[in-house]
Amino acid sequence: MRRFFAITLGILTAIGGFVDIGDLVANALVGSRYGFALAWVVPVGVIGICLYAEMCGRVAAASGRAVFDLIRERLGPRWGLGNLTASFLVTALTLAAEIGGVALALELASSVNYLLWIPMVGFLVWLVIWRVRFERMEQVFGLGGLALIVFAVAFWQLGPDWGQLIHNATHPTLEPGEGRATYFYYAIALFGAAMTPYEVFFFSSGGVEEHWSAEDFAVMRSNVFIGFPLGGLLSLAIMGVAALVFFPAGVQVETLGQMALPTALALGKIGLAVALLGIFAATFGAALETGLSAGYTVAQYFGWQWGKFVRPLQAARFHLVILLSLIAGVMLMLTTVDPIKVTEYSIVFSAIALPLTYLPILVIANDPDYMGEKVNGRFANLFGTVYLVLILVVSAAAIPLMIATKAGQ
Amino acid sequence: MEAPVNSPGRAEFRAPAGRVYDAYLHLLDRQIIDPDGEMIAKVDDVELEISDEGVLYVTALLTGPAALGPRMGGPLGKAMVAIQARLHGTGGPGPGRIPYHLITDIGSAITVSAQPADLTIRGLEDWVRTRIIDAIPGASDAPQ
Amino acid sequence: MRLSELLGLEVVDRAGAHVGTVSDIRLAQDGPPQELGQARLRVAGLVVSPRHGGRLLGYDRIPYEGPWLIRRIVRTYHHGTRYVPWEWIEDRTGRPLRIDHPIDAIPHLRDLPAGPGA
Repeated sequence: MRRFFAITLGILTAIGGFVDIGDLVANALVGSRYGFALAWVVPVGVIGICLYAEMCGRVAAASGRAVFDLIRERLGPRWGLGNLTASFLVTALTLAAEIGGVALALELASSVNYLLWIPMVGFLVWLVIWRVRFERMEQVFGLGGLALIVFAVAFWQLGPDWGQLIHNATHPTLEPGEGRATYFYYAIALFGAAMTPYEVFFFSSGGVEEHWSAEDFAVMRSNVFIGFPLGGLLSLAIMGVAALVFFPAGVQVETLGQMALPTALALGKIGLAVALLGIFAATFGAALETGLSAGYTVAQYFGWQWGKFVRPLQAARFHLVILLSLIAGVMLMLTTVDPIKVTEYSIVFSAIALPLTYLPILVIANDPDYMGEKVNGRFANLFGTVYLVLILVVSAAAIPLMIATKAGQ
Repeated sequence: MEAPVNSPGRAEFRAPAGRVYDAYLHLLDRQIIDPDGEMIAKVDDVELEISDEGVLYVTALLTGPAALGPRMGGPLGKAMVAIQARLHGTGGPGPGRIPYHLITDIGSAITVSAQPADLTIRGLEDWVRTRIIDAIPGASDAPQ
Repeated sequence: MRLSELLGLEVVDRAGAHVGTVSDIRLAQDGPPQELGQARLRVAGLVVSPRHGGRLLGYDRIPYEGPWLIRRIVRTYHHGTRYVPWEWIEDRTGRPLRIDHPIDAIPHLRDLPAGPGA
């Protein structure tokens, strides 16, 4: 019974924790602009993250080491440092975006300008990382993120024409005036939002934080293979409501308020309140994860003691990196740059940085030195390679498309 | 009759009596941990010494910017060596050194038998801890 | 001296022909037993790769693992990797490192009986 409870809790936490500001923005934007024509990207991204998250979780449980820890061993110090620099910068940018997302959610709830919330949010994120136990942190914000189910409910309430919907999703057509280049640019953005690098760093480091061992394989796999796809459904719901409400009107979503509006239309004030709660929990949780990931990557490259499983005094450099990253994120957002724009850039840069993250994971998950018998099977290797090729294509195409479409105009 | 020069059967190529490691693959850049699993450092370089019989042996693991810097090379490497020189504790500006005899296991991480007394290894951590982290309330508390 | 000083060194044979660059150093743990801890690690030989630089990712040493595609790519890239026993080095301080045998005498890594077992 206790095991059932643990597995259920894990799944629920995984569902609620799946969506972050990048997924929110990407799905709402794409839904409002393309309807369901890009819906196919979400399952592709979800399968990819499931595949690689399972590998990372297995690495943590089998070897007791986190993935980025092993990246320097596999790539050598020079390439490892290049990898660290790129991964850290993307993660730090994503952290800034998440802080912005939390502040925007608070602005919607309170009518107090988001800029005033930014320093407070930064401080709160730091405080939770400093004080709150890892598992409790994950559970509280993961379960809070479940409030995003309201988007699925709203979608149902808005009464979509299912036949039409399925047809549009499986036969993507472009509206007149929409270019192919922009279509694929947004496909890349959506893919990058689903497979952000920090997620796998965090997942494997979290596995070490929670001292996973061989007994935890079942729980870990159920989190990944049940929790993540259901979280992906939430992403689709966010795309869906935007597609139903904004696409027919030709309105492109640009603010968080617009993204949440469909819940108000379908379910009234209560719907909106629940949506804001969900957005707050999801983005705050993601801010915690990206903040910790910034610390994990640097500490794991240099071999410093890291983790919340020791007192802050015992991991001083790790906590300093997190503190500095939060300060940098807050300062970036205080320059009044649009948080939505920051989010868009963070997901595209994530897409560019994907090979740096995923190639080493595939290599490490095959190494019996670390994994013992738990090395990748044929299935994981076959699909892992397919996705690696896809990731390389996406990464190579991202910058040219970004330039050609002027970042999605 | 002696086997031809490049035959794998020759003495030089027979598998050695003990375990075999490839330094870059198994030693360099590995995490060093203490018996409790706490992280100490990465193997940034390895010290070799020649014995009286002319055989080269591993004598110590080297850590810290002064060890990693020369491996990185270029201006970045030189900067790292300079950082070590500024930040070190009471030890000299050399790299942190963990003598080989302290190693108890070479596996997915390298386990050493005790916290090395060498202060240069703890230099940056101690500096950050005493100057910054210590000042923040709750630094010594276990997470709630 | 430091291990890193050996990595990347150019290696030539008796006649001066280019063999490759040192990409790894094979260590054997057959030194005299110590009172505590591990037996001493002796430098047994050099793994020399014909391509300059390039991280081997370990795939040429782990022949049976890994996705087929990656194994093929790495194997092609490091096709001519050889192993030079330490005793064959004339002078460890010489640059480039000179081996007192002709290049044809130096075996390819894949032909050797034992690989590393950590």
